[in-house]
Amino acid sequence: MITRILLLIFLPSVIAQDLCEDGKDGYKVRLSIKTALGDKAYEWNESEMFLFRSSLAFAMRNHIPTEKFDISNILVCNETKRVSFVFVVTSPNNSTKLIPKDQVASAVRKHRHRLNSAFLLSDGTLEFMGIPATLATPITYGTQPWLIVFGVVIGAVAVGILSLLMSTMTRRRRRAADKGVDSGREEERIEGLVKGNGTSLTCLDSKDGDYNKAFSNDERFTKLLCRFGVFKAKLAEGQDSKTTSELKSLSLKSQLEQVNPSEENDCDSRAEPRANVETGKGI
Amino acid sequence: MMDVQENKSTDLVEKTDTKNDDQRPKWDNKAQYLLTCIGFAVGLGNVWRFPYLCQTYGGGAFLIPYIIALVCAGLPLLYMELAIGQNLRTGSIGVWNSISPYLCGLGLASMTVSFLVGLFYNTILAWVLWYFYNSFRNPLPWHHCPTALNLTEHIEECKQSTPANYFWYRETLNISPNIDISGGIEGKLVLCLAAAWFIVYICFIRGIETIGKAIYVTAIFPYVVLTIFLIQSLTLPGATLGIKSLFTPNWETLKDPRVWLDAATQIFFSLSLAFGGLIAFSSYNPQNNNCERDAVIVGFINSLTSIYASIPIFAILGFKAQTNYLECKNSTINTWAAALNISDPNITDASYELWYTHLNSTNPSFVKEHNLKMCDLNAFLNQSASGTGLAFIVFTEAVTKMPGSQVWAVLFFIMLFTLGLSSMFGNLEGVLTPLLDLHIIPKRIPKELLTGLLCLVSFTIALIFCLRSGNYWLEIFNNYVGSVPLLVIAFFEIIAVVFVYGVNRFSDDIKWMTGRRPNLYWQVMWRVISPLMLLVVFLAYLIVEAQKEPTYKAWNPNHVDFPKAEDLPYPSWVFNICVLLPAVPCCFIPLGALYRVIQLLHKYTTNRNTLEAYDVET
Repeated sequence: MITRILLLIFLPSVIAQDLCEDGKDGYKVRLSIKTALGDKAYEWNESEMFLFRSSLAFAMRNHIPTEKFDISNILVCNETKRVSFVFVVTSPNNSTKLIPKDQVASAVRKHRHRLNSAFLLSDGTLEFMGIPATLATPITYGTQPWLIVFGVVIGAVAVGILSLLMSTMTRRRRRAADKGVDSGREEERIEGLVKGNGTSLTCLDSKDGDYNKAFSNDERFTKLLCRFGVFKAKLAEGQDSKTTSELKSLSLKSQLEQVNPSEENDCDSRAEPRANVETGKGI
Repeated sequence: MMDVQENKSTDLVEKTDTKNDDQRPKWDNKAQYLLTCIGFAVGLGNVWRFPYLCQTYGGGAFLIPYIIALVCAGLPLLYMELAIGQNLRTGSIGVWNSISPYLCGLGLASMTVSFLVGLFYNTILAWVLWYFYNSFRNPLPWHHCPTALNLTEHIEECKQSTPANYFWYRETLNISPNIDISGGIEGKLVLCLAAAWFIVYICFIRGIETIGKAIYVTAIFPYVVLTIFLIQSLTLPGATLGIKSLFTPNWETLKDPRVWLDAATQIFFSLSLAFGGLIAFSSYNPQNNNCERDAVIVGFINSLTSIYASIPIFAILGFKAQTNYLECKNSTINTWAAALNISDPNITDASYELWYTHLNSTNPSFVKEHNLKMCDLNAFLNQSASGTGLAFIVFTEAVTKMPGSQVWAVLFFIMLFTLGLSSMFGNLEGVLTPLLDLHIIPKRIPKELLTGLLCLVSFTIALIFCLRSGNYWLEIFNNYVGSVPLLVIAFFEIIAVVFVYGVNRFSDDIKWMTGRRPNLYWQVMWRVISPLMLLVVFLAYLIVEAQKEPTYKAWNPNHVDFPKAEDLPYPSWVFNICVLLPAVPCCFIPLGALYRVIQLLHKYTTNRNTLEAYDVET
């Protein structure tokens, strides 16, 4: 009699143990409290286990509203010091029947956040082995932000290009207007040169003193050029007593004779081309 | 020969007549010119190639071959190019044509190489722009893996590699598994490429007039950002680790000849010699400009920038290695605790190693079964990369671990963009100035239209890099166009000046321009050491390249060893293109000489015919 009573008392727990240890419909849970909370970690004890079972019952209730799950339906076994254990969920109507794994999984996933918060843990520290956590939904934008920045950059560049093109147009128009005034003066200058002795030494007329050194090795020729340059510079400065037009009408040889030997010495150091470059005085 | 030269001389004098009508553009001031040359020389390679070489070849010890290469080959060539451009006042085609008509092909080769390099260089800038746009997102899109459709887990490809890798290879490039599969055109890359070419056009629209204004920003801004990064990176944990790994000298590496070869090529490509861009820039100078000082300034600033840039880069890489190591440790501790079923705080950082040795000695099968590994800090440190891998994968990953990552990402990508933009100016100027000097374009066409056409043509051709296999093609261009032809052109340049023109004559020209003859150092370098060094480097480079198998690294998610890149050989049609790309510019040199010979023969025979006609008459 007593044995039968004892059997009856212990049978449910034995059966429960069997159901739990079966492991087929159960999930392993692992908690890493100290990792998550450090100094503020709480001790895992009976009350904490009670909380776990009740929150799981809550999750099952919400998931399957028709059945009223109770704490007794959540069976726990294989507890270790690491704080890991296995749990199974039995049906409230029939304590020997287990709720299938996938239903338990979806219940846990739906209420994962609540379960985590109940224990002040996170997805990583309250692990349900085999139940993947739902990842955060990726942020979707109405207009992609990169298109906005792209539009800003392109807009700025387009404005810049247009303004530069506009400024070129206006510059060109202004230059065309000025050219009409200048053309008269140009012709005078060219005429003067031609009157010199019939040769137009226009190649020397560059303001930059550009001078293709590669092809004139001739010392004499360059000295000649230099003297002519000095003469022209003097012409421009108007240092000579003779009038400009008179000077221009002389032959080339006579023009060169106008240059003093002292001034000619400058030509040895080839200072002339550089001076022209700096001051912009034309030959 | 002399007849031809004299005839050519009169031709040229006439040409200079029409050119010297005051319309050659000028630099507004010396600072603009110097900044433009520095900006051209200082490019992406200073930031992502030099630090990698420094670390691979034993840190501080690498500086020795680097400085020697700078002094023996880099500076003399630089001075020569600047002086020649300033003297003859034309772009690369005109300059070499003046030195000797038989060298007209040399300028053409320079122009072609500049054009081809400009194509792929701007594509890299397009990628930088894409990352720049995406740096405004919060969180940064390469921080986390995107989730799969059912929201239970991340995308498989991303899980196996890292989020930064995934974002680069899949979401940016959408790369195909190998070069045969061209795939479709990536629309977003086309947009970014168009934006990049627009920005280049607006700066380049009137040649050096607009470049000179833009250069104040594009040349100076990178230094500002590098300084900001320097200060910030030195405050990060693990920074000293990175800097130590960069600069600890390993004198053994000096015995390896490849170190010397890499140092020489790095100096050479870093200074942007043989592109014709430097010649073009100095041709707009007044002739009395002191180009010796300019050459020394540009050369040293380029090298100092390389060294200066490597400090924050490696500090940040050290920080990344440290952070990865800590993360690795934490995850291994967790796996061990789970496997051994012990309560969580028992394995700490400190006891980590003890646990591992204990486990290994007592239960090695257990270790193998659960695949328990130790985390190795040095392995993380050695994960450095160069090139696009450094900028778009390694560095972006490091940036996500810093506080305020968007700001750092934006700054970094703007810096890369401005660095590349100032180099693009040189590339395009190396194409535009010779074109203008050839006088084949009628005067009526405004310069703005010409530069616009150049940008449009380049953009259209560069669309091949927007295909899914575009990255593979870019690597081909980078390896084959940007290396051998430059060495060939530089070698012929120095031969032309030293042996055809004569160093004495050249020194006289420089004396005429600046008032001082080049001193003994330059004479020795030009006559003996630089040509010799260039020849040795060129031959050594060819030998090394010829010994390498022509393979490339492909990103294939279905590969067995994924996420390791798959080593594939180039298909034969691609290999033919690889050979053709450097061959075409190099062929212009002999073809140009041949053309002149044919011209000479033609003239000779026509002269003879007319003389004979006279004989008959008298």
